[in-house]
Amino acid sequence: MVKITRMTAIFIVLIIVGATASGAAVYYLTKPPEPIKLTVWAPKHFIDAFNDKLKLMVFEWAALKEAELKRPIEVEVIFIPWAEIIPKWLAAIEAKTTPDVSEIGTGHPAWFAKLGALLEVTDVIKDIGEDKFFRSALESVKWDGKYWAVPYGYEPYFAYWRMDLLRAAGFERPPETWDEFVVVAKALTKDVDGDGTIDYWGAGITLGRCWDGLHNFETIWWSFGGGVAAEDGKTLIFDSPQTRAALKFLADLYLVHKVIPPESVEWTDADNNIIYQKGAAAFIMNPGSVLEWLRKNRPKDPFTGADIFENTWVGPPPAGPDGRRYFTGINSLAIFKYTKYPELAKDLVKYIMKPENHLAHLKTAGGFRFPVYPALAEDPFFKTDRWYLAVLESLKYAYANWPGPPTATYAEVGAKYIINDMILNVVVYGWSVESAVKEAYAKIVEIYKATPP
Amino acid sequence: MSFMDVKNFMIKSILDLWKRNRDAITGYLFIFPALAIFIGFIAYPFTYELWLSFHEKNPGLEAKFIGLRNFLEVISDPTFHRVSINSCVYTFTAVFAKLLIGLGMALLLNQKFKARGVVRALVLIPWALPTYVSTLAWRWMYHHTLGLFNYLLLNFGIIRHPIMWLGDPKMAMASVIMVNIWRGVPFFALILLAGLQTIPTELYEAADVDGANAWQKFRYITLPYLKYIMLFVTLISTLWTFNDFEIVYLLTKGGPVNATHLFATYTYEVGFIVLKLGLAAAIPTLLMPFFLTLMVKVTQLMER
Repeated sequence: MVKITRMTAIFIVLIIVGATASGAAVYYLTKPPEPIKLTVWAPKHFIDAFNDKLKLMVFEWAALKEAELKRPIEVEVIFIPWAEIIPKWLAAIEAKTTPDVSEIGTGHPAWFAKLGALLEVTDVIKDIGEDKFFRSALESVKWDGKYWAVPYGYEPYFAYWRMDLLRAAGFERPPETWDEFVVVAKALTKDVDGDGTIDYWGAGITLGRCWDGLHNFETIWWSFGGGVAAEDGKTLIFDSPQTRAALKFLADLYLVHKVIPPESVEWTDADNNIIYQKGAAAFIMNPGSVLEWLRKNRPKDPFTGADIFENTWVGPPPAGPDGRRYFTGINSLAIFKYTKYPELAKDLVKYIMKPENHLAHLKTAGGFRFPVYPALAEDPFFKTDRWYLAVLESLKYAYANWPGPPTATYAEVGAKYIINDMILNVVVYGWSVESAVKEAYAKIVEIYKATPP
Repeated sequence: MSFMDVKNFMIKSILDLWKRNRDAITGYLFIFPALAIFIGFIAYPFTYELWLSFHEKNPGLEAKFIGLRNFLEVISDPTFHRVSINSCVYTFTAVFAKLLIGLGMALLLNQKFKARGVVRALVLIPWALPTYVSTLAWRWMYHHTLGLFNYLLLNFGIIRHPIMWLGDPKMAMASVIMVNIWRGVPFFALILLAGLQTIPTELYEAADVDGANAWQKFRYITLPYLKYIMLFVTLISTLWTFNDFEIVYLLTKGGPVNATHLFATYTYEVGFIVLKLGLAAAIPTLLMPFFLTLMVKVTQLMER
């Protein structure tokens, strides 16, 4: 047996440690740089081409940046349904595991900025050019004098009417007022084949606990002169005769005139799309996802064989006693402050919002999204298609919130389904309008007190 | 004392410790992974939840200690009272139905017939399928306009107007209970079938000799033997059903207007929709004594 002296043992150990340390040093000095990883979240819209185009733009940007920085960039684009995305954002904010960039909705820039979750992007807006945006778009992303997201697109909830059904019932044009609407909707609600079930519904209005349910009501509510807060965004005006009148009007459509499908109370955001697309509703209020579906699929009316797309009129919904107003979402691109690569995230947002890229993206959306740049609104794409032109012209009646601006606090009211539950309490549980408004008002007061605009 | 002396002493001490406690150390090493999982996925979240229930906390904002205020708010909330009633109705109706149907199924599957093995396997399908997959299928079937149930019932003339399976408060509760029963019956059937197979056949033969009829055999032989198994499976199912989330969340999200909210879905809504994390944490904390009692009972039964 070989006798190993102490010195020999120490020498062997030193050799091993030295070799290991050298190897590690060589590895760390020569290994390729860690890839940059960026994550983008976006609500999953009903138009696949629009979602796919965003993903493509993000990957295009990553390829360009990789060549420029000579460093690998990995990007991930995750689409999340609207019904799930708000809890996901908030959970991510709480756990500090937010994506780098996300498309967010109306009122969310101020909401998330107040939670301290967003990176200020005033410099991005200035780089793009403040004068390049519609004023209302910029207002929607401003809080505390700073910009917290970059406006990304308008998503108006315009009216769809089946002109063939209107003409067959003796009407030459869609109703101008909600009072006229009742007469028209009643005339259009009919059992065509005499089997005891209604085949056409005059009012495909969503009453369910979803975003469409809220925005459909807002259109009626605002046109009756009701709203949550006054022009300052802070003074509550919710508990008013106008709110009661609007709620009673909607409830009567369902309970008295019976022009809204009974199952509307369980509808999700997709169901009013479905009912119009299959030809069973003469009227809905929805963004342009339905228009694009109709254009692509060209469904026929199950009874008359009429082309539903060709016979669809789009434009502003009817006017109420206080005027004509309807909801438009203004979505934006936000950068969360926990991003490891703030400058790259800003660069990505600027790339997506480059006018040529933004226009190409909007073209995939068809009538679903409208530009936040006035210059792009003049593009022939929106002017030569009679449907897009009609929507563009109706935008003068569109509001992200009324009468006040879209605040974080109102976004919270919407996210908590307080207005939706108020409607359902009346139409499902038979509460009086008075009780339902009072209960909703109490909850709204609590929110406005806890997180003032 | 030289360096070598210290080194030798340390090595000797470690070796002695190892020799004296080898079995215990090995045991701890083996349970360490399970312990790590327990601490990471159960103990830590549970402790955090307990801590949160005494605080006011919104996502993104700092927590503020408020003592018992969350618990008082939960107890005085009319919606929580509604949720409590819903949970009791949902659980007791579903568990009772699962027990009855499961027992009947077990008795049938215990008989000898052709392809019994295949039938036994097929019976497990509802339980084996991922809950979200089967529940989404049920949601389609319940759909007012496009769903299978209304289509069949209308076409066969059984109803004249579509049923609002998920839109009417009473129908919605019945609909979610139905799905829970459909999913849970195989579990009851399987466990009770295992219990039936432990009953000595000689008892039934002796009963035949004595002239006992089917009901008498069931009442005096089958039921006594199955007593503890039935109790065990009922208690465990009660625990699970009280905590049900997926079925209700996917079908109705607790609606229409809280008509089908259970404790789990209501807790989710308070935490992630109403954004009161502290209040949401207070709900399961309040229910803990009840569930702990159930769990102790189940453990005692298992030991029997």
